[in-house]
Amino acid sequence: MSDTRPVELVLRLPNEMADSVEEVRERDPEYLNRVIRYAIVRRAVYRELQSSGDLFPPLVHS
Amino acid sequence: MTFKSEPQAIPNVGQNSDEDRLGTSAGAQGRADVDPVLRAKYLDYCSAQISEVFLSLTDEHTYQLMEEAALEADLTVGALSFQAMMKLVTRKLRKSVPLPDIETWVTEYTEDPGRYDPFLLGLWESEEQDRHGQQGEER
Repeated sequence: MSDTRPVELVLRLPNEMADSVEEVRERDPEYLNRVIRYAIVRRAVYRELQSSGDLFPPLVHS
Repeated sequence: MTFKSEPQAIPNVGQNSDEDRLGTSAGAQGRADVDPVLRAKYLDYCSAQISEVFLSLTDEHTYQLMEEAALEADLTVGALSFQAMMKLVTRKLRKSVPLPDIETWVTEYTEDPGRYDPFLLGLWESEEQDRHGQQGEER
């Protein structure tokens, strides 16, 4: 998982937050990199725990 | 932070196909009466604990874990998707990262939600939206 490539994202955020994101992108892009990386890993781990049925049986949806 | 019980071992993985090797297990029986939202929040919390450890690993250590898990599942690392790699690493970390059992967690969460809410990302809400979206597309 060490190969990298650039990814473009378009987000719709409240104006003040969008300004803040743009500021962080300029000043500390590596931070945003870590945030996205964390979120994607977290989601993948969640899905694996959910599907494995290891922690408890999966719910049966009607 | 201590928990009252040890996490359960990961069950054996099937040998018939890649999906079986990485896929679902029967799991334990008898815990289906927990509120679905609390179950989802519990998973959200557990994902936080495992992700913290995952992201603290070096690339070399991550790859080593992946290789070990792939060997155990009779898979080749080079042919795996990101999702499959995440499954393998999650399984390895699941064995070493201490997690509360769901009953303990639900009891503690019910008594003091503020203790755990900061760990939750709302993944369970996104998953519900995805599920309903997929059902809508299937109709």
